[in-house]
Formats: sequence, C-alpha cells, structure tokens
Amino acid sequence: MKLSLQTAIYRVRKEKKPIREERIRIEFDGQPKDINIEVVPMEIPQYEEPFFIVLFEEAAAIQPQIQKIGESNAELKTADGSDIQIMALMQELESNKREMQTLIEKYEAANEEFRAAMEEAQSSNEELMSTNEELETSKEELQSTNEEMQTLNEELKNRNQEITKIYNDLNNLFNSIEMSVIILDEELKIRNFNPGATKSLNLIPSDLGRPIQDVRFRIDIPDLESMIFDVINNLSTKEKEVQDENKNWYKMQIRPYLTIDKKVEGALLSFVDITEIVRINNEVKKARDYAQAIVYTIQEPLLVLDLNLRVISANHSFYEKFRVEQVETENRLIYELGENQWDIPELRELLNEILPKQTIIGDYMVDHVFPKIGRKVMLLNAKKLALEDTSLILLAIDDITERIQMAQLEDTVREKSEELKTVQQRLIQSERLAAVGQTAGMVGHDIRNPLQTIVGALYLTKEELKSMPYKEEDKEKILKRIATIEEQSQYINKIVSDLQDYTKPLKMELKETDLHQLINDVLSTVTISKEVKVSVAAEEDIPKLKVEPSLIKRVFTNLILNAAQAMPSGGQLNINVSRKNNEVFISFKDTGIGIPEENKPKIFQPLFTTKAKGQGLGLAVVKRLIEAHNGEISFKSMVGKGSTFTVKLPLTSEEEEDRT
Amino acid sequence: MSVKKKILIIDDDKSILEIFELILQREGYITDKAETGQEALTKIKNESFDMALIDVKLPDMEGTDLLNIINKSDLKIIKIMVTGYPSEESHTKAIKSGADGYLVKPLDPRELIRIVSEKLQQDHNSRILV
Repeated sequence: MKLSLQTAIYRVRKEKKPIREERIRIEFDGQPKDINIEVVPMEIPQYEEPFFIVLFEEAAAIQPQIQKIGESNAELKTADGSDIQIMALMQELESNKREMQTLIEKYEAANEEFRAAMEEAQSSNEELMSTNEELETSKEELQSTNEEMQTLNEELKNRNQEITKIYNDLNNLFNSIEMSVIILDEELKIRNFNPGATKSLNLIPSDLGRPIQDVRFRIDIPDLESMIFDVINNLSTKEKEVQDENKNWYKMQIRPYLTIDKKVEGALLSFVDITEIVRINNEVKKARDYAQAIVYTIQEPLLVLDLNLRVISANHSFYEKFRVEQVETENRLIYELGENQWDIPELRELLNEILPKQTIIGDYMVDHVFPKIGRKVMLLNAKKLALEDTSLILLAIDDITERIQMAQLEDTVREKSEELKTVQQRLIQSERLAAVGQTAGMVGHDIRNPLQTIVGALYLTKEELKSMPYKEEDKEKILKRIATIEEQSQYINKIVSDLQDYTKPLKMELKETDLHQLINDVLSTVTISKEVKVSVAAEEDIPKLKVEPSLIKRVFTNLILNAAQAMPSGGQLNINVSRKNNEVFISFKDTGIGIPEENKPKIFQPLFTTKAKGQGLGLAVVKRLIEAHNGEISFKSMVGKGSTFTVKLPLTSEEEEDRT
Repeated sequence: MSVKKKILIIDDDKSILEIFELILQREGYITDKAETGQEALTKIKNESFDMALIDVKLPDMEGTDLLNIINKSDLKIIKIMVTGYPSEESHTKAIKSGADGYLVKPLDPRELIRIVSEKLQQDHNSRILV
C-alpha cells in the first residue's frame, strides 16, 4: 500500500488534481483487504507547501467493479468463474503497470535530478578549479605583498631614521631659537619649554607640569588664561604685544597645538623679543610724526610728486593757498591741477628738463597769473628723493608775491625817502644858502664900499700921477703896481658877486640875446693880461637865444677869467660859438695848465678851488646859471695842454619857429 | 664954459663920499655930501642940486624912501641910485621910485664920470627943449 500511496501523492503533486486509486490490496489483521485511496490536493494560503487530503475507504463489493471491467472487455464476460480471478489478476496487473509507470516516471525524474546534480557537480568542479587558480594568484599576490611589506619596512626604518634626524633638528632648533616657546597641554599645564623661555621668562625645569596660571614669569598678562582657552576652543591664533618688568617688548603669539591628525592637544605660546623693533618703530613713528608735523605746520605749500609728476600728497598750506581740494589734487598730474592752471611753461621746464639732471633746485622763480587766484610770484625749491623702492619729488612753493610787492613797496618808499631826503637836503642847502646869501649880501655891501674907495683912490692916483714930476720910468712902475691892485680889486669884487649870485634866488627875465655880442661885451669889461691872446669865432647862422643876459654874462665872464688865470704866462684863448640841431655850443679853449685828473670830479663843487687866489664858487655859479637855462656844461682837460669848457644851451621851439 | 653942475653925494661911508667928491671935482663939478637921508633932504631943500647920487642903504632910511620924498616935492634933480648890494628887486624898486640910474659899487670911476655926464647932458637937453 505504501508504494501505491507514494505514487498517488506524486501524481497529485504533479497533476494538481485529485486522484483515486481503487482496490489496493493491503494486509489488515493478516487478512488481505482491498481499499480505495483518494488523494485530494489542497492549498492553504499561509503555507507554500502543498497539502494533501488522503481518504481511505474500504472497497465495496467487487461486482460493480467486475461489471465495469466486463463492459470494457467483453471476452471476459463470458468467462466463467476463473474469469473472475483473471480479472482480479488483470486488475492487479493494471495496477502494477500503473505503479510501474509511476516508478518509471519517478526514475526518470530522479534521473533528471541526478543529471542536474551531475551538472551542478561539474559546475562546482569548474568553480573549484577557478577558485584554485584564484588561490594561486592570491598566493602570488601575497608574496608580492610580502615583498612590498619588506620594502615598506625598509622605508619605515629609513623614515624612522629621518624622523630621528628631524627630531634632533627640531630639538636643536627648539633649544637654540632666540624666541621663547612654551607648549601647554589642554589643561594649560606646561608640557615643554625651550631654553629661550628659561632665559627671558624665568622658567625653571621644575615648572614643567605646572599649570601656566600658577607660574609667575616676568611678563604680566592678565587675560592670558582666557586667551589660551579661546585659542584652544576656536582654533584661532592670537597675537599681542606685551611688556615685561624690564620694559622689554615681546610679541606674544598663542597658537593651538595641533597634532598631525588635526587634533588640538593644547596650545603653543611664543614670545619674540621685539624691544628693538618697537624702539625702531617708535623712532620711525616719531620721525614720521615729526615729518608730518613739519609738513603740516610748514607755511610753505608743499607737494610730493612721483617721478611721473603725479601728486602723491600736498600739505594743508597748498590747499589753502591755491584754493584746491584734496580730492582734485591727489593722484593727478601736477599740470592738471585746478583746471590746468598749473600748466606753466617755466614749471614744465623745471620739472621736465632741469630736475632730471639735478637732484636739488633752489629758488627757481616762476611768475604766473592763475585764473582763480591771480598773479603769483613763486620760488620753487625741488628735491628728488630716492627711496628704497621708489623716488619722490618734493616741491616746495614759496609764494613771494607779497614779499615782492612789499619789496617793490619798500623800494618805492625808499625811493620816495631818498627823494624826500634830497628835497630836504636841497631845502637845507637852500636855507643854508639863503642864510649865506643874506650874509653875503651884507658882507658884499660892506666889502663893496671899501672896494669902491680903493678903485676910486687908484683912479685918482693914476690921474694925479700924470702931472707928477716923476720920471716916466718911475711912473710906469707905479702904474704897474696900481694895475695889480686894480686887478686884485676886481677879483675881490668877483668873489663878492659870485657869492651873491650863488646864494641869491635867480630871477630870470628872458630876452632875445645875441651870444656873440654878449661875449664881446664881456671881453670889453674884463681885464686880461696882454700875454693872453683871445679870439672869438661864431657861425653865421646862430640865432638869438632867449636868456637872462646878466646871468649868461656872468657865465662867460667867469669862464673867460678862469681861462686867463690858467695861463699866467700867456697863451691862447679860443672862443667858439656853433650850432648843432637844436642846441648852441659855446666853447672856451685855453692852452693853460690844465686840470689834474683827481680834481676833475670836484671842479663844479662850490668852494672847491685849485687856484691860490680864487673863491671856489666860479664854476659852481656857472653850472647853476647854465642849468637854470636848461643847458649843460662839460669840459675836457689835460695837464700841461689846457682845458676846453663847453656850454650847451638849448634853442627854444619859439626860436626854432623863428628860424624856419 | 657952462655953469658948473652941483652934485650931492649921499652915503654913510665917509671914504666913498671923499673919493666920489675928488673924482667928480676933478671933472669940474661942484659937490656936496650928506651922510643921512635927513641931512640930504635939508641940503636939497636949501640949495639947488642938479644931481643926487644916493646910496640905497642909508642909516636913517632906505634910499628909495628918500627918492619918494624928493619926488613928492617940486624939486627938479637927477637921482642916481648907487648900491653895494645889487639885486633885481632893488633895481626894479629904484626905477619904479623914479631913479634915473642904477649903479653898482664898485664902480669904475670912468664909468661914473661917463654916466654922470650923460645924465646931466640929457637933462640939459630936455630943459632946452622945454
């Protein structure tokens, strides 16, 4: 029965439909018994496996069964009782056949499965082979890895050596650097410090491991702890300039102590002694402040230019004086400033031509009329300043406009003062002369009376002598003496007259005068020694001149008497009247002793004389009188050869008209 | 020989007076002298003079003052001013005051003689014409 059931279930599983096996012979209590088996497939949703309901029932009467067989197999119907056996056998056979069939199918299925298993095995084998190969490869790789490991090991060893070297280097460096370095752990305990710190921060070996806040070193930094924490927490770097008890400055830097894997394991404090730098900085700052203060305070406008003549900066005074703004000045070409008002040819010459050849230019004068601020006279002082990386031009502008105006004003004032002084002097002179004149008048009056008496007495003497019973010879001698006295009396008279002429105010009544005639008149009144020959020559067309005849007469008298006196032992006096254009020249040429060089500048000065007898007013009077006629007097003279005095008198326009 | 002319010389300088007298007397004139203006006036009023030589500066008055006084009287006399201190003003003033001549000291005696003679001649001629 077991086999039948197995086969039935197999078939149901396969065909998925209920199957009924009938008349299965089983041994039940030692009795053969036929049963029917029905297998119904059943699916329960929760389970994947198929379930089967197996129904067992006792086979009923065999008859219906035989009948059924009889219907399909007529031959058997006719059989007798043995047929029933045969039928049973046949049924059995049929069942066996079916079982057989099932078995075959099972076998085939098993065979199939086996074959599949075989295939799987084969495939596994192949896989195994491949795995083997892979293993082989892995082995090789392992070997190679091993070799690499060895190399690495080697390298590691080298690296180690290098690290040792670097460590040594670092250690040496750490110990030898000037700056102080302190390494703190996360709890701010001192983990390490270098000898520099020993020296300048006063750390001792026993400070190692102590918290930094417990260590007192030379520099007092109140917020040190919070700063370090800040650095550790924020991974920032802090810098601060601190000062120690000895007034030394340090640049303190706090950095986080980072491991190679970027972990923070404390902080690193470094102190660099910047005392010198601070000192130099202070000095530089001082110098800069000083320079800036000077530039700012300086009254002179100052420009700083680069070599391209662009304004780098200008001082306060520049902006104020030239009325420009900083924004429109800085970074502009100097020529562009204030709407090109600095485009001055002299400035261009200075900056473009002179300055490249010289480093310093002093007091270069520029006179320029600015559109906005008017005329400015400036002294420019420029200096080229070579700095390390660049060159500058300092341009100081000294506005001397006012100074020049002042100077001009001063000049005017000085001139006026001079004039005033001259006028004053003249006034004083004339006052003095007036006083002298008054005195001279009185003296003249007092002298003229005795002179008159002398002259009269001499006249009488000469007249009376004629009837005296003296020898003619003796009379001559006496007359000669008398002539000398007369001559000297005349000089005394001349002195008085000159004095009066020189001091009294001139009153001019101009009259048309014939100069030639005037000269002849003078010659007829003066007493000249017979040894002196006089000749007068005049051009024919000399017009009459409008002069004051008495004054011009005095001029001629004085010149003629001077000439005669210059020739004590005789000589020639040539008087010449000529005309050139609008001027008349009257020259008096003598062959006398001449005037020594040193006396030439002084001869027209009053009271200067070279003569033993002479009042020293003669030529001064002559000059005064000629100048009163807008004329001039000049002279040429050579010692031993003689002198020529030339009077130049202008023809008035009226005379000019008369002539034409 | 015509009647000798009378000339009064007025000057405060005695030596001048003396010399002028001597010179003019040599020429045949009758001379008298006065040292002050007042003296001169008295003499002119008492005697008749043809000519007066008057110094511009007198101790008691200016020569021109004397001229003015003479002019105011009917006295006919030739008046010649003589000065030791010549100036335009005094010249002009003298002419305006009716002086017939203006002479400057020191005067060449020949010049004095010439002018005196000339003036007297003119006066003589003018009188003849009248």
